[in-house]
Amino acid sequence: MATPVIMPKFGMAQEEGTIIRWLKQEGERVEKGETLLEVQTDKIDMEVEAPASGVLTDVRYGPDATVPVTTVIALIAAPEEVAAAEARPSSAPSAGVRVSPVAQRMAAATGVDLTQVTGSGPQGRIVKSDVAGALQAQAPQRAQPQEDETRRVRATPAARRLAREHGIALAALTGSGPQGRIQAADVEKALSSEKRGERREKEEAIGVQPGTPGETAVGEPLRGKRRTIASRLSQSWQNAPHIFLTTSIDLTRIDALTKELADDVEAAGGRLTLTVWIARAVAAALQRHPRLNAWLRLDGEQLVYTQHESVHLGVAVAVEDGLLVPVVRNAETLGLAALAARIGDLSARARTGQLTPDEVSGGSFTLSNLGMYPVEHFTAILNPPEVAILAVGRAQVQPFWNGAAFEPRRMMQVTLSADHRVIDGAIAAAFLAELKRLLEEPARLLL
Amino acid sequence: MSRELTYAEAVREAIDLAMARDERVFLVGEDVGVYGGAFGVTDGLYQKYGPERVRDTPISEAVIAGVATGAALTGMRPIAEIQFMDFITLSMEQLVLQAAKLRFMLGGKVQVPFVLRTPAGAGTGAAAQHSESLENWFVHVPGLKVVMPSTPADAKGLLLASIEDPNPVIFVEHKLLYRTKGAVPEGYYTIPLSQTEVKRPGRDLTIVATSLMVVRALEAAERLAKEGVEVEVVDPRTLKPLDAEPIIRSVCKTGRVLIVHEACKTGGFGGELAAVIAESEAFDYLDAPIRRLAGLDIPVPYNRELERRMVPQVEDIVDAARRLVKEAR
Repeated sequence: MATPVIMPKFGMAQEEGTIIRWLKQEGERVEKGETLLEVQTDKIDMEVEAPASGVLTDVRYGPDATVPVTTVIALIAAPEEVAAAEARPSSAPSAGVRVSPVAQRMAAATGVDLTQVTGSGPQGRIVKSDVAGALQAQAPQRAQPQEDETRRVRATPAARRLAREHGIALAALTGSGPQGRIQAADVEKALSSEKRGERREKEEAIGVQPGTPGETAVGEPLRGKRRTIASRLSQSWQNAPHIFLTTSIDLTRIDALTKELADDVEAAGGRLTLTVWIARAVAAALQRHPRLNAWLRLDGEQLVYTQHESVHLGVAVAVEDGLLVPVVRNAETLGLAALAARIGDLSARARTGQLTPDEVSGGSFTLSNLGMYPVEHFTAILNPPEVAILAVGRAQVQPFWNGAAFEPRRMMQVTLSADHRVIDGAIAAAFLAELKRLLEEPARLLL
Repeated sequence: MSRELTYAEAVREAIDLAMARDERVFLVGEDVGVYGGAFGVTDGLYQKYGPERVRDTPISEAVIAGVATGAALTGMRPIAEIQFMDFITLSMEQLVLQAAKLRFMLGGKVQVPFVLRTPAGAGTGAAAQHSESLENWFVHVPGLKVVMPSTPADAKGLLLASIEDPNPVIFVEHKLLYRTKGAVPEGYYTIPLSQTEVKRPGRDLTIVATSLMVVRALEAAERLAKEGVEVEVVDPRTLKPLDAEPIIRSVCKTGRVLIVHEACKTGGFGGELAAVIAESEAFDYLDAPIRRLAGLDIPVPYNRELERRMVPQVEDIVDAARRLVKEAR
């Protein structure tokens, strides 16, 4: 029996996956657990392992194909099957079954189980007609219309080549040749109508008027992660009325403490960055202002607000082809060292594409730090269904009036975005004030 | 300078030029001398070069082929003539077992540089024993080259190239082509063997034709052009060794191919051509099955109407081409 390879369901909400590339080719031998292909879901890239050992056959979808989860995308033929196919004529008859050589060959070729066949020859020997009879009886069950139809499509070599080159399914076309034979012109027709359709879609999506003069760049439809990012962000921006609150935070104490603690944190396997400090302070502030540690979701017709007890802190990480937000679970329970190690680990794995779907979902608040760029402050769009997000700008030395004179202080601006449907300005301000105090007087983090 | 010559005159001019240029070249065959050849091709050469170099033979094709082989082995450049291709059957042993193989069997120490000219084809009402097209028999024999020109200019240039070639060349002329006229360059020139020529460019359908069928295919193409069908006519000229590349290129371009030859379809050269095309990259460009239009699998009938029906005519080519193009649109 061949083992089907299916498009796996990595996450609860995943409905489809896009094949990035096959790492094994059709006809190649694979061992159970070996990586067969890479798949992109709306959140992350995943590797799919071989569910069994054998030979990869019947690869049904190529790169870029988006396939619903649990769809069979290929088969792995068992080693015995392959061996039987390779050494067809010599396959031994089952003990006690008398079979003519022709019948045996026929059975081997067609996969008929000889123990289930009654022989009509001398001394009950199974002969050719018996195998033919068994085959006929099996025919209705083994009919796999999809496959058979594909194989029986009448098409010229030129039509097949064009279809192959452009990824067109011949079975879906109507042939204009003799006996419905599909010819090059039929494929070309399908191709040009597809192109027209695609172009229209693209133009609608990016608002290009057909026939824009001088427009020669070729557009590309958004796929996978990027498509998800696009739709979620516009949904968030359109649905959630955002309010933005900015404050400056004095980093003098934090900087001093960092010098004291950096080595200890490093010894524990992390790096005491500003992000770690902010994460620690945000977790503590959210404990005291839990209204911002929440989700607002549409359930049917109703908007439902859910407050979380624990802080599941999403930390945005820029990756090659987009943005990932790995989530630090129960961030409020982690000390600085543990938090540093956890954030370091998640960011590193985000950049190498090794996060699991559970590690990038379920956040209750998001932290986005662009402090490594010359960005003094910015506003972030809410990461639905969360109701608040903190945007962190670059820390820089600024003049500070201490009442008698200006002195240089390292300052940082943070901007809180909140969903105004559930977060009033005063609540957001109180949270921000708490956060500022915790970072300026970090001893309070011990309270 | 070019002027119009008949195919027969072009062949004669080539022989004349070769004999004048190279003393080793001589003619041997039945009635090639005093009579001037059954179709008048060698007319006047006996008078010009004398009995030593234009030798009439007894009625024995085995002798003609044997003399040519032996003389070639000893350093001469014979041009032998078999009066009708049908009678080449009598010289098969000399051609197939001796001439074709001696160079190989003697480790390249000898060469067999002769040309065996012979008129083939039906259309003269000469019945089954004087109308054969047996070219593919020789295509099947390693060691022989097979040339089959379709125009006077090709006939002259290819015959001179065949005479220069160090191998035995079967040079197949067509009785009905002898009186066809065409521009022929003056003086000595050769057309290299194994050089397929596109005789007419087109985009809708490739017709690969040989000998007289090239002429008929071109006429068919002319008629089809009036219907808006652009036919590309390709002439291999040398059947062996075949220059397949231009044929493959043409089929890649048009996606449809009709092969036309006069010899019987079964076992004919068209089967070889079809296989060469199907095995090549042209396969992926085929938009219709490869079709062959060839002689019927019967002996050539004496009855003129039946004889006509047996061999592809212009209207048959037009019809087959039209069906093939329609089928692939």
